[in-house]
Amino acid sequence: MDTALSVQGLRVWRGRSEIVRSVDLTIPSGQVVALLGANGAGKTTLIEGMLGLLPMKADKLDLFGQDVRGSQPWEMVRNGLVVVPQDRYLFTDMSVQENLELASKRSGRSQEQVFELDALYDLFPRLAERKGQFAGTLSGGERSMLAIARGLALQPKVLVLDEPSLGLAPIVVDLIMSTIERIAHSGLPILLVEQNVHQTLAMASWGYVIESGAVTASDSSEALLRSDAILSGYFAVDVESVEGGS
Amino acid sequence: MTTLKALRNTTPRQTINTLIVVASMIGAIVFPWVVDPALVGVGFIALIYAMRNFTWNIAGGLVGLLSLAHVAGFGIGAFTVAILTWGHGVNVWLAILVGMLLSGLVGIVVSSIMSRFGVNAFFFALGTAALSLAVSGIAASWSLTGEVDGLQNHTSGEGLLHLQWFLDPKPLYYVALILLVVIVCFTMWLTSRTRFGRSLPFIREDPDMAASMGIDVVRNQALTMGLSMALTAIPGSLIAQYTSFVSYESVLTLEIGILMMVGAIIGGSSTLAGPIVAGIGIAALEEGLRAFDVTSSSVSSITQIIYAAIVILILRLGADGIVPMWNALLDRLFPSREHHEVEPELESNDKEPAHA
Amino acid sequence: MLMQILVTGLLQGVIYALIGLGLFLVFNVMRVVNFAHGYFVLIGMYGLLWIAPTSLPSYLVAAMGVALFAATFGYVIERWLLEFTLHKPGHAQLVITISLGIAMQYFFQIKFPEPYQTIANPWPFSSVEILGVSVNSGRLMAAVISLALTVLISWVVYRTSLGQNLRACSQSLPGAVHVGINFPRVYRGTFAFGAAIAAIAGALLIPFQPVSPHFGLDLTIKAFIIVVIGGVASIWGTVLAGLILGLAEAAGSTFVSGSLTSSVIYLLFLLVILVRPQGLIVRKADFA
Repeated sequence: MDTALSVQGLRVWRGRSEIVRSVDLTIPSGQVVALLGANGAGKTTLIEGMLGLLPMKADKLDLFGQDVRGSQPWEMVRNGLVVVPQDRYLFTDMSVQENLELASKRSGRSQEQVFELDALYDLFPRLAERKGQFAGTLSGGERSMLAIARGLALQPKVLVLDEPSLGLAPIVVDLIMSTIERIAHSGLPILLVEQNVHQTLAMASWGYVIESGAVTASDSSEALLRSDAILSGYFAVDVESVEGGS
Repeated sequence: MTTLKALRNTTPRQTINTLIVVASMIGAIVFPWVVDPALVGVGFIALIYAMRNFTWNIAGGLVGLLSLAHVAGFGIGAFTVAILTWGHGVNVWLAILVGMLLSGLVGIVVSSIMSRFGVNAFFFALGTAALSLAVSGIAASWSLTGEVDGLQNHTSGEGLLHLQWFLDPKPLYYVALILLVVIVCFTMWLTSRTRFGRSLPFIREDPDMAASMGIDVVRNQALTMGLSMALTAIPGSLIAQYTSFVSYESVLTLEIGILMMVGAIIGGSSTLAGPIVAGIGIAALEEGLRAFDVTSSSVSSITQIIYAAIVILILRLGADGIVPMWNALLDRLFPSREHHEVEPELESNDKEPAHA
Repeated sequence: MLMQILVTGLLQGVIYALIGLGLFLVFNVMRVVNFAHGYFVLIGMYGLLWIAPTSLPSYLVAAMGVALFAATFGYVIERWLLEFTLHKPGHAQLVITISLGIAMQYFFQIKFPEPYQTIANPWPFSSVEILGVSVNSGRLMAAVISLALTVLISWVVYRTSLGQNLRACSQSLPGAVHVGINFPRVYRGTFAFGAAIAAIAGALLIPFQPVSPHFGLDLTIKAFIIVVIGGVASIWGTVLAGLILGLAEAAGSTFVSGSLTSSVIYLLFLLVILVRPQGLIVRKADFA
């Protein structure tokens, strides 16, 4: 089996403190891998470290067998590692169309365009209706859709989705999750970071659980779903944080 | 004596710096008697620069207000003396007090208004710059301030009461020295012994945090700004008495305001001694360039360029200024047994002016 | 007299708008508050004074030359003096640009000790009459070229993919990074471009505006006035603010002395700062 992204011994710092400690992670080609963990476990830090936004060290960081350690974030994106960030970071004073155009123009002339603009609008009919609207005026669900669509417009080889359903109504979450499943069917390797454990593991083939910056469990989705110990540990923290938040 | 006792408990750095301060103080006192009479004037200018930087730094360094309004205070000090004393025969000391009050009032009003509207640091600098330019423009077009020609001193009184000596620059030099020492001692007392003064570093580091500690940030900023600008009027008044001439070009250009800020930063605006060292330094630099037979019009230009280059270099290297660098050097040369980490508060070792 | 104010004010305003645009771009894209901007205009003015072109072609070539020089200069400044300040809080950026301006001012002072010099009129006509007002050819052509450049710049910003990248960095720096924009390169380019615009404005000014080193500071403050009044939303706000400033100056100087006019303008500016400080919000660094 081909490996899309392979990480070994990844350590990431935020300021002076080491948040992520020696993480190993593999995304096989054409599969969805889930990254689970409570709030503050270091998921976003791990992703920002991989992308080169935060200071990091790794024994190995291979993108399709090519060592990409020490690359700048924009080089990572050009090499095909696209992150759809948790905060979305849309260009608020540009229209939906312009957000997507900008990304697809940046995707490199030589790359084959898997996700054409029309295909993206097919995937997200809601965005097609909002084509001319400024991104700053979109609803939360639409923002998440636009962020994913913009990521796809960059023609990724590996897509990292950082909590695409964060803060959305359940019905919108379902819509977004099913769209992600459709994207996965196209064969794009995806690292899906989510709080929605069941829905996420349902589409993932493999899952990692991280706690305080280290991987505490890594197994096939079925095994993870069955293993109560891991899930209860994960939920214990999660339930607390949900209670605190509401 | 308490000083001897204190010496035993101090780090080598503090000992060395104390010795430097004492030596500089002695040097400053004997200076007019051991140098060429022409250099006494240079010494006086050096003291004015030092005072200017130091008083700017009360607002700029202690609470971190990057003000370009201080030149207005400097100009107010000069013009009040020119208008009241030279024009209307008011006693010069009284005029200085009036100048300080006016300037302090401007400072309080500016700071209050700025914080009232929640202006950030860049706007503060920009707004105070606009204010100084406006004041400068008014001075250049108002008959009271002599329009573009400025005002001349034609009074004939001599002596301490009139703050005027026609032939000997020494008395004015000592007046400036005493005032500088008084201002420095007052500031040291304020920052170390009063609640108000001790709150200032907290405001500089994090205004929100300071407010949550129960410090009245807006009021204390305004008072500091007022105090700082009131004191900046003093060197303005002194330079007016020294040159017997005041015009908007000589005391009210934004460049002077920028120099105060740059000078304090070069010296190290987190220290009390820094701005003074930088003030003396620039006067020495100007004099040194004159010795190199540079034409007089270029001297000040070259000094300004060197000054600007130094401050850019210091910031580029991520350093804090001359005095903090000097302290770091001493700490490296003479490491003390216990390692004292310097808190982000002000150093209280100040250096007095010595050689120009 | 009204016509006089209107014509001279608008003509001057267009040039102010061009100067303001350079600062606007730098501020808007990089969130850098460049206090040396007015001095970049002086590069253009003194550059042409030094070259002293005698014919129209040589004038145009010289103008492009100083623009190129200013762009290189701006690039170097951004790379070596500003880049390290971008993600740091504090006053380093402000003090560095102010000091750079001061250094340039006194450099010009030494290099060109004779104040208020100008160059020979490069245009093949001396003056024209517009709406009954006689206008110097240098002033007219400066306004025409400034207007053309303004339109060109707005086309680049709003219609090209280069401009799209600039706007992306301006609207969301992290967003720009996530779509693979090499933002340090965009920043360097923007700063160089801003400096080049300023220098061109200087080259346009010099045939009818005798130069003095202290113009640098005045122009910096005026450029800030324009950017603050114009707001960060669009280029056209900046252009409008430039025109307003030009008109205000023309109107003011008809009735009172020049220095008092500027005083009033500065005081009004102070008011604007107080009333809408959100006009220029300094964005916090998103990445370390």
